[in-house]
Amino acid sequence: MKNKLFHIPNSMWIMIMFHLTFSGILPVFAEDTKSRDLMINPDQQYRFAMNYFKQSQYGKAITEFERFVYFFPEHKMVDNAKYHIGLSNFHSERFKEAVEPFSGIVETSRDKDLIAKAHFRLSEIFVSLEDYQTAIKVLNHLSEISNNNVIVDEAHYRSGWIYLQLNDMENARRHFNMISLQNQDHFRIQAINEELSREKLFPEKNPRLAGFLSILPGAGFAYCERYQDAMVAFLLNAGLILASYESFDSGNEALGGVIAFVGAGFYAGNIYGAVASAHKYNRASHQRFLENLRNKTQITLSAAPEKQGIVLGFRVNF
Amino acid sequence: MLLSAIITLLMISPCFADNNLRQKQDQPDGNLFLFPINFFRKYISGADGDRCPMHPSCSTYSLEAFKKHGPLKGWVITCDRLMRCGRNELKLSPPIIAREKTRTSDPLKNNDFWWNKSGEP
Repeated sequence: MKNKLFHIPNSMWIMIMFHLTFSGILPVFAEDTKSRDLMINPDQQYRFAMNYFKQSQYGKAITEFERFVYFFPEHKMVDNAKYHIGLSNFHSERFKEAVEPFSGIVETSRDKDLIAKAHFRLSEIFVSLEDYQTAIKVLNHLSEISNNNVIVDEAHYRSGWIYLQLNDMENARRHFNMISLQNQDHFRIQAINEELSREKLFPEKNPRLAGFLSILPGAGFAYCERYQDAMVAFLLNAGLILASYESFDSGNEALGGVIAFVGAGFYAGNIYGAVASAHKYNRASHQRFLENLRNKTQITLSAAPEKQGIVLGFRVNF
Repeated sequence: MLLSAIITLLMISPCFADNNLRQKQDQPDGNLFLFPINFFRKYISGADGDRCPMHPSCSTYSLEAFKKHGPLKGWVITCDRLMRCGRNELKLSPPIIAREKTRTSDPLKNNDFWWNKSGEP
């Protein structure tokens, strides 16, 4: 005989099962799903981006630093992240893309060290883009806004080197001499001034003289110490002039005209080449002078990797 | 006279040779002045072989010069390059691995930078 007291109808069983299913079991699954959600805090994201940066995987580092800036725009390391975006572009030689993050730091950051470092990087970028005037403007701007002697002196030092690269010795000397007395030893200004005070800094050839000498084919090349080129220019032009003369002389005007046309090109090319050779000689000579000066007075300038201000490294060749 | 013409041709012909780049750069060009260079690259240099020791080769350099500076100055710059090809430049300019060999780097920008400085685009 069935006990009526504990009799539960089928519909009730369905209700109980329904309740158990949706109030008990599903939340367990939901909890399980929640536990699998990835939660990344700002420090983890920043470290992850830095990890790529340190491994020189700059493309990935840029993506992760941008993610950091997007998700944590109020975080105190946002400016540093932007700085590293710029730096990653700079190391990848994507100079134009590197300008924007550094400019953003210069305009909006409150961190003075970071602003100084961004200025220095911007000037390096513009030097790489061969926009020397803008590089100097950036450094001038830094020396106007900064009240830190070391930073201002480094800005003058860098400007001096850019002027040296432009072969503007007067402005180079002016900037080197604007460095404060207490830092002159550090920047080896005396040694630089001694090198720059020489009467003849480096040998040069006069391009106009090279062009003028080329009236006699090959003489301009010889003046620029290119003796093989000089010989070829002389023989080739002499041969073409002779061939043209003989063609006209023997009544072959058409042939003479063609040879004269070709000869005119080589004659003009001989003048052009001599002038270009003088310019190339001067450029190579200037580069050797700078290299020599760098070796004699070298100091290593670098912006600190983390928040430790500007770092100066010194190296003296004995 | 004939001897002079032959000497001239012998001196300049090796420099135009450049087989590897030819396929990439021999796209038809509407410029009439480039026709002789393209003709040379397509029909003559193939048989002659890639003998130019410079990079870019003289014919590539010439095409660049014509495109950048126009026919008159392009012609003069080409003549200059043909006279310099394979001589002092080999010691003065840096080596570069190009077209499967070590060549001497002598791009157009190394030879017209001074002209550009004085204002010409």
